[in-house]
Formats: sequence, C-alpha cells, structure tokens
Amino acid sequence: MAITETSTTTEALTASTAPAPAGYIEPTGLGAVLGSGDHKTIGRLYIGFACAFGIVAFVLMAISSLQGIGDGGSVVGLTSAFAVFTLGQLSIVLLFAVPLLVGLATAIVPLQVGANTVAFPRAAAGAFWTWLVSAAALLCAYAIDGAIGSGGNTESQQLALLALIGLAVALIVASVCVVTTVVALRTDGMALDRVPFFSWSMLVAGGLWAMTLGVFVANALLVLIAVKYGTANRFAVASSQWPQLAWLVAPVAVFTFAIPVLGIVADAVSNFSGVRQPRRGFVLFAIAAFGALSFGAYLQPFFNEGAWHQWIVVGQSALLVLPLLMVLGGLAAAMKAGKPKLASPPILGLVALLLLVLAALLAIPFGIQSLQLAAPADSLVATNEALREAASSTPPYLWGLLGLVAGAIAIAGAAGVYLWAPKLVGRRLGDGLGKLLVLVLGAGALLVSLPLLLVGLSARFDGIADAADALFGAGAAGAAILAVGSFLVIVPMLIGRLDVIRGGRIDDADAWGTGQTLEWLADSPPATGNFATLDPVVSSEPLLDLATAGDAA
Amino acid sequence: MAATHLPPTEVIINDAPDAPIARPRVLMVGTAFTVAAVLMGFATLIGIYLTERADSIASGTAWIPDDVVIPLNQPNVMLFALLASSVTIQWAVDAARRDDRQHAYLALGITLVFGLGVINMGAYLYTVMGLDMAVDSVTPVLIYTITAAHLALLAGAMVFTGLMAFRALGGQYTSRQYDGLSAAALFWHAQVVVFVVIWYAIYITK
Repeated sequence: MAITETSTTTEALTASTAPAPAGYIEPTGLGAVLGSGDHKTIGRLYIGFACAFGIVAFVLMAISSLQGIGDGGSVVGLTSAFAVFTLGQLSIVLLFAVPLLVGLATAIVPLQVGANTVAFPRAAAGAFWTWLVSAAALLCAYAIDGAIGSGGNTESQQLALLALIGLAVALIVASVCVVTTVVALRTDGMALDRVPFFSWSMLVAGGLWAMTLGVFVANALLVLIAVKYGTANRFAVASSQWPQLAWLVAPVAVFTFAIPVLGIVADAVSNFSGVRQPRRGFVLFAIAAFGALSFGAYLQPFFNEGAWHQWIVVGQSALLVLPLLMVLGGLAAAMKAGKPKLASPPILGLVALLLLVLAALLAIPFGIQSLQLAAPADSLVATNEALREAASSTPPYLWGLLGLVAGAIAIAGAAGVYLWAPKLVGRRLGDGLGKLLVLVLGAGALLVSLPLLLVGLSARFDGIADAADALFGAGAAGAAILAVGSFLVIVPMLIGRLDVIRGGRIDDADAWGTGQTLEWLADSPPATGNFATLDPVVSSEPLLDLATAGDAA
Repeated sequence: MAATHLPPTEVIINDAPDAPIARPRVLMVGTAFTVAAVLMGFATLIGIYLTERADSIASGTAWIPDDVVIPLNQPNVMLFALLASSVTIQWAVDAARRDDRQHAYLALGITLVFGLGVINMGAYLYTVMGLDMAVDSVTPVLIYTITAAHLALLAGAMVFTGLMAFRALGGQYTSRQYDGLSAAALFWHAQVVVFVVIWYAIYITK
C-alpha cells in the first residue's frame, strides 16, 4: 500500500512512529548524551559545539582583521598575530562550517529518507567525539606555542597537526555515515530523484567532502612527518607550513563546504511555498553541478605556483555562478506557483543563497592576474609585519571571500536550525528572533567580507590603501557581529530543548503545517527509531500526497 | 485442529519465506566512499612526489642521493604478494557466496598471512634503504610518508578483513548476505592498487 493510500487520520500518522522496544529503558541525564548513538543526539551535539566554536572562530577572525590596522601590533602583538590568523581560518571551516552542516545532516537526513537511524551509528558517534577531542587538542596546541607556521615549539606544532588530521578524519567518517544513509537506507519507493533537497545536497557534499578532506589529511600528514623527522627540509620550514594547508580556505575549494546551503534553502522555500517544487529535477541537477564545479582540492599553489591564475581555474570560478542562478530560478518558480509564508527559515535561506551568489561572483576576478588581487598594496605590508606574514599566502581578498562564504553557511545553518527545530529540540523557536537573525547575520556577513575585499583591491586602485585602517576595522566589526549571531543560534535551541525536557510544550509532527517530506511525519522530537513502519512513498512530497488523498476522501 | 496434526517444526521453518536482508549494501557503500577518500589522499601524496621529483631533476639535482640504494627485491616480492592476496580475498568472497565456509576461512587466513608478510618486508626494506631524514631534502620525507602510510593502510585493511573473518566464523555471512566480505575485499583491492602505483612511481622510476 502506498503512503497516499493510507488513512489520513491522526491515528494513522501517530501509528507510524516507532514504539519503544519491550524492556527498553530510555537513558537519561549525562548517560543519554555521552553514550548515545542516536542520530538526533549526535546532531544536536555537533550543532551546539559548532556554534560555540563558531563564536571562537569569528572572534579570532575579528582579531586578525584588527591586526591589519597600523603596524599590526594593536591587539595580540606581532608574535601571536599569525597564530591567531591561521587558527581563525582553520576554525571557520573545520570547527564551525562543516560540523554545523554535518550536525544538521546527521540529525535530519535519516528522518528525511525514512530511515530508523543514521548508517553506522557507532561510527557517527565516534566521529563526533573524535572531532570534539581533536578540536580541543588544536586549541590547546595553539595555546602552548604550537601554531602552524609560527616557528614555535615543535612538539606543540606536531600536536596541532595531529589534531588537524583528527578533525579531518572525523569529518570524513561523519560525512560517509550521512552519505551512506542517503544511498542505502532510503525507505521503499524513494528513488534517488525523490530524495529531499537537503539529503540530496548532503549526498553531493558528503562525497566531495570525503575526497577534499582526504587531500587535506595527506597535506597535513606530510607537514607532520616533515616537522617530526626531517626538520631541515622545505616542507618543515615555518614559512612554508601554512601555504601547504591554506588551499582549504581559498576558492574554489571553500565553495565545496557550502553545497548543503542549497539543499537547506530549497527545502525551506519549497515547504513554505506550499506547492510541489516545479522542475524539481532541474534544481537537483543544479545542486549536483554546483558540487562538481566547486571541487578545488587539486588547486595547491604551494606546489604549483600561479595555479590561481590558470584559465581552467578562472573558467571553473565563472561557471560556478550558473548552478546557483539555476537554483535561485527554480525556487522563484516555486514561490510564484504557491503562496509563500514569510517565516524565518525561507527568509534566512534566501539571504544565504544570495550571499553565496555574491561570493561566487566575487571569486571570478581573483584569478585574473592583471587585477592584482593576490596581494595588498606594498605600502600596507611594508609597515605591518602581521599583515605581510598573513597575506603572503592568504591575501586579504581571500579573507573577505571566506567571510562571505562562512556568513552564508552560518545563515543557512540558522535557517536549518529554525526549520527543523521541532525535530531537533521538540518545539519551534521564536520566529521573531529568527527574523532578527536575518538582519544580524546578514549584516555581519556583508561587513566581514566587503571591506576586506576592498582591501584586496588596494594594489590595483590608488586610494584604497589610505582607508585600509577603517576597512579592517569594519571587517572586525562584521566578524564580531557573526560571533554574536552564532551565540543567538544556540541559546534559543538550548532553552527550547531544556523546556521540552522539563515537560514544556511539544510541537505537532508537522509543526509548521507546511511539511512535504518524511521528517514531518515523525514525532517532534522523534522517538528512538524514528518510524516503526513506513508505506512506500510514491513521490518526492509524500505528505502532500497524504493531504491530497485526505481531500479526495 | 489438534496439536498432533500440526506439520513438524522443520517443515514450518523450511516453508517460511526468507526474512528481508537487514540494511543491504550499507557496508559496501560506506566502504566505497571511504576508499574514495583514501585514494584521494594517496593521489595527493604521489602527485606531490612526482612534482617534486620532476622539479629536482629539471634543476639538475639528484632526486635520490648517490649513496642511497633502494633495492628492488623487496618491493617486487611485496607486489607479487599483494597481487596474490587480491586473488585470495576474492576467493574468500566467492566461497562465501557459494556457502563454502571452509574455503572462505582458508582464503581469509591466507590473505592475512600475505598482509603480515608485506608489512614485515616493508619494515625490513626501511633498514636496508638507508635514507636519512635529517637532510636538507624532501625526498626521504616523501618516500617515508608515502610508503609508511601505505603500510598503515594495509594494517587497517587487515583489521577490517580480520573483523569480517570473525563475523564469517560466527556465521553472519552466507550466500544471501556477504556484504561485509565484499566490502573488506574492496578495501583490500584499493590498497593493492595504491601499492602498484607506489611500486612504479617510487621503487621502479626512483
């Protein structure tokens, strides 16, 4: 019997949730957190810690930006400036952006595809704890003079490199768990082209993340072995350590980490439009095309000088905009066909998508050598040692691009948290605060990126260098606003969760009343096992099928 | 109907339909993605090796110091042992598919012995190569990193295969469901492919 043929009564919906097995005692307290292999718990932990680390990462980014002012010794001093810079850049990707999206995916993807659990639940839990311990080790290593490329304590540097490898391996394992869930644990009738947009985007992203981070592990391993055993060679020299790893935070590779943004936006908009997504295959293709075009792990300027300026890279950057515009067009068609509700998830999502389009557009000129974006004006670096050191491998233009992409991911992450809060914490979060987040995170993302992008133009256009202090100050303010935004994402989540644990309000399965995909059939929050039985689905919007069948009856 | 008229228990069991396979393909899919990540890592290392080697030769510098001799005996034997192990692990999968448990155990055992032999020979090769890490050259760093990472990968493949062997001993893998053994074989073949590339790029071309 297809899901559209089932009764549409409340009893039929609640009967599809998983009953607790006989004799099963739900763990409570700390045991429920530390020992859990439940994908919702693991996902919540990822999201919470990623947002907490996000605050750290954006504060570090703000300090790095402030170091661009004057002679560079204004905040943390010249000796620590480069350490703050590299830790900030790495934290944005490995401690904030990827874990935030992996957390959302670990919690939501199994529900979307009708699975009882994430694939390899113990591996998923192991990946989370490995990530957390590695993150703590990275911060500790930096605290004891182990900054990569700083020429500090060698043993501390080895700890930092080992921590980076641990972070990347953990995120690879977590991605593999999510991807395997989409490929192998889909419920009956859910062909790949019927998979919800977020799950589809995670299938594309997870595969590419596994390969991209695999490359990063190889780079970090090479530096680690060089530092530990072969201290006299050029891989181990302090000045060449960061350039070997910096490609991870530069275009085109940095766009790989933004693939799930498209899935979150598409799910939020199509759900709140109340209609089936027109030309669904077109949007799925666009997400896959964005993924394919964003693969940039091969682009390693340390080993291939001038790689950024090769025509193939410039062409790849230019093409990257097209799939984003295709997704935007597809979503516009959905909004035109339906009556979109102006709730916070679709608004946050659309802002994130527009920022990503802007970032992709601004990435195109970076490869054009005549624009001189690969280094700031000589007058700036001549007097500022901190800026000179940081800009030698990661020019300010790339700081701006990273800020824009990180901002888009933060906003999309907030959209996901607000959209799926009933499944994550058991109740919807305040829509007013969600709309406030649109302003806070949107302003932060623009402020952290545009001034730094302008500084990046200082070598080409006279006069910009004169305003550099103000621009770096504005960039720092933007990063600080993003840190506040990250805080504003986790606080309502914590309050909502605690409220539900204490027996407060629990939302309906379809909390927004606009659900189209299977996660809106599970309880809010879903019980252990998610669904007991599910009838085969016959389309990509099973809940709309159910509603249609109910209307017909 | 009286209880004495019920068919015998074994008839009921034999006539019952097969239970659906729990989580088909999960391990295979997960392993395939892991293998993709591993292959990308090795492609990076070997790509860097070849780039640095080409740059060194182009600048007129010897890539491997004259006083260093990398023998071919051990790498050749390692290669043939690994190629043979690819055959034996596939034999194990085939035996499991035919419910031939005895041959499956035998093939898995031989595969693991081949693996141990390769690790042993790799460790011995390090003692005879005499590549000094503490020199102003990236050659030893690259050679040791790549070859040691492969030995670590082989050790990981052995652990995976050993775990699947224990599961096979426990009767988990039959002709209906032998996913775990196929996944272990996929991982094993991947590390053999990696060694074939290492053998040519490092040991043959030097």
